[in-house]
This record gives sequence, structure tokens and C-alpha cells, in this order.
Amino acid sequence: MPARDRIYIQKILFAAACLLAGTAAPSHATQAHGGMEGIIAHQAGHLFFMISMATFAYWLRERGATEQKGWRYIFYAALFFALWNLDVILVHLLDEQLMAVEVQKAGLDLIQKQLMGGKAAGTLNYIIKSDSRFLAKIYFLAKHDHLLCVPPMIFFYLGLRRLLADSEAETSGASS
Amino acid sequence: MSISWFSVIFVDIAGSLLMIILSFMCMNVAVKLRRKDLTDVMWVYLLWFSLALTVFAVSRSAGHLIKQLLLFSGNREVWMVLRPYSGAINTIAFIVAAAVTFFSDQIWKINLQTLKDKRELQKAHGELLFLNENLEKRVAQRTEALMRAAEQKMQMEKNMAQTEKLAAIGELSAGVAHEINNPLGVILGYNQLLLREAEKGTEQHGDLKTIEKHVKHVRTIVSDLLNFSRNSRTKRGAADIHDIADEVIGFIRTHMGAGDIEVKRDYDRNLPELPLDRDKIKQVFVNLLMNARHAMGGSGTLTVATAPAEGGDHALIKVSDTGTGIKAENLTRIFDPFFTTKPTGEGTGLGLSVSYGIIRNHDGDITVESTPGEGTVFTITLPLEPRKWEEK
Repeated sequence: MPARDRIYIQKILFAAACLLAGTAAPSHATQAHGGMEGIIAHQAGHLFFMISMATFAYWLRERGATEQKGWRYIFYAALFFALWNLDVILVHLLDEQLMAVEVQKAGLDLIQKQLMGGKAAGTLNYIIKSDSRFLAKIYFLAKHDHLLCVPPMIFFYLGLRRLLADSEAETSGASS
Repeated sequence: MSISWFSVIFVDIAGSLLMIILSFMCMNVAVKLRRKDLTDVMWVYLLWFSLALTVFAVSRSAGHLIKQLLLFSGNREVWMVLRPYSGAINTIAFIVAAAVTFFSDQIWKINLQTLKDKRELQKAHGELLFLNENLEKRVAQRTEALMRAAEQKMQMEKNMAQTEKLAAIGELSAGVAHEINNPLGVILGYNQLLLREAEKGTEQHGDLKTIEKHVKHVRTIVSDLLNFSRNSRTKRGAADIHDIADEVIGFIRTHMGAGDIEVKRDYDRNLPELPLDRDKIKQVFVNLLMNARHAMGGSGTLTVATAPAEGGDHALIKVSDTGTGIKAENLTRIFDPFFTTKPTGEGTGLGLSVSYGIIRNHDGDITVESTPGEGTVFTITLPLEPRKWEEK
């Protein structure tokens, strides 16, 4: 391969790496994707996921699938996932879109600072800054989102296990 | 509002760890479910959904754990570099999970159709298997049915031949009997005149008695011939077969003497009255009972039994004896006219032929089974309901 071509290919690979790393240089030929676009895409994803889970739950009920224990567990999982999406949409809306709340560290934890060799370290004490105390409380509660996304995983697991057990029972019943 | 962030961080870390563990557990079960039945597309959907959830859980939870670790260790700037990648991957993952879910309705419908087709296929397979397994049995059944049909055909042909033979002999003997009957009457008349004049105990009287005896025998033969050939109309009316049998048994006992013969009656009194020509059936019983008596000599057991035939539309009448029986070579000929095993002068060989004709005229059948030295069984089958008699 000629040296000139090799340099050309190396340039392309470098440009691709920069693009992947999110450090691409401004381009005049393509649309830039900076600013609020990331959070809007993420929120749209959550909305899409929430609608799909709600639709899935509705549809499972309509089809009578929830009469089977396995699918009933999956129905509960879908409902919880929809709720979880609602919860995280609210969190993202408050702190990243509306900027209605802001979380700040309350101060440096001296012990941790010593442990980390004088480097500024994290602390467990935070201040939630908001014009509304109610919104601040809601935000704090909504930040415990794993309380809504772990249960659906458990329900989903139980549902799958039940469907597997039913399928095995059916197979052994058919073969006996 | 100042607040301890401990619960948020604790739930975040514990939840993230649980999410990773549970997502892998779900994947494990979904893979097993998929392997269980490769044709079930709902399991494919659940596998895809589990996969998307696992990617989402790992990317998000790992991101959260790394975030807490980096923030806790004061490396916020490192987290700020990693953050968009973690966010982008988990955004893509739950969008995939959502997209897959939107197709689940279609997948469910396809699955229902697939399962229906599968069931039908299994049913067809089962039927084919059943047919295959039973083919040999069915062939054997069909072969047996064909053999039965062939036997019936042969029997029918035999019966037709017998009927034709009887018809031809009947026609011939009717003419002969008519011509002989009148001269016989004249001979017997003159013989009786001569007997009146002849002195008893003389040689002439003895000779005339011999003539009378033989002329009477000839007259009996002629009478049988006429009975055999006479195509008289069968006059059927409802009659109790047991009454007819009893009447004939009584007649035989009174006029012929039964000796040491034991007569057994095994009647099924539930049999209804049958459409019979009473006199002709009486003649059949006389022939059969006389033959039985002759076969048993002085002692034995004569049994007359009645029963409904299998199917319930015929009656069976069995006349059996414990006599000498009939040799196998004679069994096929016993219904032939003039066939007799009795000594010359004792039988005309027409009794069973006449009986056969009478029973056939009643839409019935007569068969014989015999074991030499043990006895003979004649079985008469007669219909319970008249079928063609009104047309005759």
C-alpha cells in the first residue's frame, strides 16, 4: 500500500475515533448534537419505554394472558417498569430540564479528606436547592428510583421461572 | 433543604447490584425457556426483552456504581467523561426493550397460529402413526371379511345348485308318481279282495301279505315323491314353535314307541310366535325326529332346543341326538333327494330333501353338524318376522 494511502486511512480512523469519543471537530455539513439534545433523547426514550410497558400490560390483560401465573408476574413487571419510567422522567425533568432543583454538597468531609490524602472527596450531606420545598421533597423521594425498578426485575424473573416450569410440566405431561 | 443523601446512595448502590444480578438470572431462565421450545416465538420475544434489560441494567447500574465510586473518591471529572457513554448505552438499551415490546402483540398472534398449526400437525402425525400401526390389523380384518364373503358366495352357489337339482327332480318325480299312483291303487285293491278270500295261515295268504307290504312301501315312496314335488302354496300364520315340537314328540312317542330314548326339551319361552306353515313345519319335525330315533336305535338322548339367534331377528331350533352320527363323506349329500343310508325298503331318501325345501320356503336355513359315534345336530334358522311371505 502506498504511504500516501496509508496516511489517508489513518486520518479516517482517527476522525472516527474522535467522533466516537465525542470530541469531533465542528462540522459544517452535518447537524450538531450538542446542548439539550442528549437529555431530550433520553427523556423521549423513557417516555417510549413507559408507553410500551403500559401498552404491554394492557394488552396482556386484554388477551387474558394474566390468567396464567407466569404472565401475571410479567404483567406486574410491566406496570412497575411504567411507574419507574414516570419516576425518572420526573427526576430528569426537575433537575436537568426545568432546573427546578439543584443538588449541592453541604461541605467537605474532613475525615474523608484526610483519607483521600487531602484531595476533595464526596460527602453524604447534600443541600437540595429549590424555590419549592414540596418539589425538593418530591425530588428527594423520586431519586430512590431503584425502589421502582428492582421489583419489576424480580417479577420478571418469577414470571420467566413460572413459564419455564409450566412448559416443563406440559412437556412431561405430553410424554407420559 | 439540607438532607442526608445516604438513603439515595444506599438504594442506588444496592439497587444497581440487584439489577445486574437479577438481569443475568432473567437471561439464564429466558435462554432455558427458548431452548425448551425453539418453535415458540413468544420465548424469542422474552429472550430479546431479557437481553435488552440485561444490557440496560448492566450499563445503567455499572454506570451508577462507577459514578458513586468516582464521586466518593473525588474524581468527578472522570465521571463527567464517562457519563455520556453510560447514559447513551442505557438509553439505547431501553429503547430496544420498548421497541421489541411493541412487536409482542404481533408475536403473540403469530405464536397462536404457530401453536395451532403445531397441534394440527401433531394430530395428523398421531393419526398417521395410528394408521401405520393398525395397518396390519386392518389388512387382516379386511382379508377375513373377504374370505367370509367368498365363503358366503360359495354357500349361495351350493344352495342354488341344490335348489335347481331339487326342482329338476321334483318335476320328473311328479310325473312318475302320478303315473304309478293309479296302478298301485288298483293292485292294492285287488290284493285286498284276494286276501279276503284266502284262508289265513296258508301259503297263498302269506304271499298276498308280502305283496300288500311292498305295495304299501311303494305307495309311501310315491306319496313322498308327490310331497316333494308338489309346489303347494305355503300358508303361513303365527304359530308357537314349541307347540308344534311338543305335538310331534307326542305323536312319535304314541305311534312309533320311544324305547329307552330320553327326550329333553330346552325351550326359550321368550321366543315370539313365528310366521309358519304349521303342517309343513310339523312334517320337518317328523322327518328329523324319525331320523334321530333311527340313528339312536333303542336308547339315547334326543334334545329339542330353541333360542334367539345372534342379531335377534331369527330363531334357532336345534334337534340333536346321541346316535351313530353321519360320516363326513355323507354330510354333503344328506339333503340330496333319494340319498339314504338306511337299508333298502326302510327309507325313501326324500325326508331331508323335503325338509330342506320347506325350510327354504320359510326364508330359513337348515344345517347339520355330526360326529360319527357321538351324534348329530340339525340346526334350523327361521326368521322372526315375515319378509317375503306375503308376496308368495
